[in-house]
Amino acid sequence: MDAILPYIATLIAAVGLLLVLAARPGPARIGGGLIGLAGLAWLFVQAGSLPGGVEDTAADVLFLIFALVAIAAAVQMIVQQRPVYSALFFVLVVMSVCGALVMLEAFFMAFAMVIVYAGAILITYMFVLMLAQQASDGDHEGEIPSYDRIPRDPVSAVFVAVVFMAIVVAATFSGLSDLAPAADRQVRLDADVALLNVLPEQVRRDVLRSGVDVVLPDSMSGAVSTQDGKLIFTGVDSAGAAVTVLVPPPGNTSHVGWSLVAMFPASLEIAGVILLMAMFGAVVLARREVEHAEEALAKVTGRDDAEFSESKEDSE
Amino acid sequence: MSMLASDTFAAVSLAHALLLSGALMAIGMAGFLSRRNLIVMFLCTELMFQAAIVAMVAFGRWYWDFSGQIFVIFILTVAAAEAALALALVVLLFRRRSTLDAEAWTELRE
Repeated sequence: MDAILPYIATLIAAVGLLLVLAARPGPARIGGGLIGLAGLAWLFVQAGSLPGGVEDTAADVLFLIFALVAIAAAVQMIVQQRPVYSALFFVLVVMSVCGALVMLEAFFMAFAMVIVYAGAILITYMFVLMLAQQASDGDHEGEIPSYDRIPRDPVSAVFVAVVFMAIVVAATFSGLSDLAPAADRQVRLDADVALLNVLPEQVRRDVLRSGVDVVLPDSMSGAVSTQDGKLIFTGVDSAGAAVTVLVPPPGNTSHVGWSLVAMFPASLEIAGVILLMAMFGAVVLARREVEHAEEALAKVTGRDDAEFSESKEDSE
Repeated sequence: MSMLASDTFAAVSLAHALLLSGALMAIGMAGFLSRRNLIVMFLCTELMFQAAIVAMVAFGRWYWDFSGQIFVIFILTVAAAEAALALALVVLLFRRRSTLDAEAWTELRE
């Protein structure tokens, strides 16, 4: 019986999503949203007892808050009738996902996401949204076009989504116990040591900054090791006696940066080429002249050629 | 500062991260299938990218393998390239039909 409870929670969430998608704005939609969030919250509570354990309840609770905000904003994003609001809710999704990433100790990626997504990609979306707004003719001032008001076949869309979610739930609830165990403290310390031993300059700086009297050797590699769960640099002081210096652990950014250039240098170059090509492609695509584009534009912006030339003359 | 240095900080349950990822992916999928506005459809694909990012980072943290976060960088690259190209296409399509309705482009289907 316990085995099907997660699927029931998934179904409840799906019913809520369907109500939100299909219903008109009003009590039905709000009720659907509450039902969906309740189903998801129940699912998260059930997942709390799975292996893969929580070491820190406060962090997990914060993660859950970010997760629920992200999901609620994502639902708002796909039901908003005005695309600008959709884009703004997507900003909220990105922000909450960044909070979740911070809880997962991916600090660099969290801030890179804020800069790249919220700062660059979303601004591009907003620009295109503003460019592609349809002019409203006098009678239908401010009216939302029908393709934004009426969803296309929400039942099958939610069906596909719930099948996908059921697969994820099945994998999560039955597969987690088969995973290799999570990295423990020793694995993390080993990773820190391995990183510090390939970054001699950082160790040199840390040792100098500590102010301990120590003679820096010519080669710093292999000089860092672990002792009682701490990172230490072993050397000799000016009198020739052995001395150890506590070294701060390298941060997330050091790890990510080193992995990037040490393990994926070619991919990094290719990523740059992809971005360059995308830029060329966007310029080539968007510059192409379309026949009668001017007339269409005049129709869209709602002013005829006479006004157009008039305003031109005014500006001269 | 001591909170950041402690080794139990941010010990989030893997199951919760995977469920968040799955839920975002499912919502993005539902949105992509049910919305008819081209720009909102592309926003939904960005939502699905977010889901992939959460899953990658969660598994990367589980195994303490930074490749997960490296792949997020590549996902960001793909997302940026996709946004540039897709939005250029949307501008082009909008100029031809002056509508953002995806159903305006159904000749290939018929």
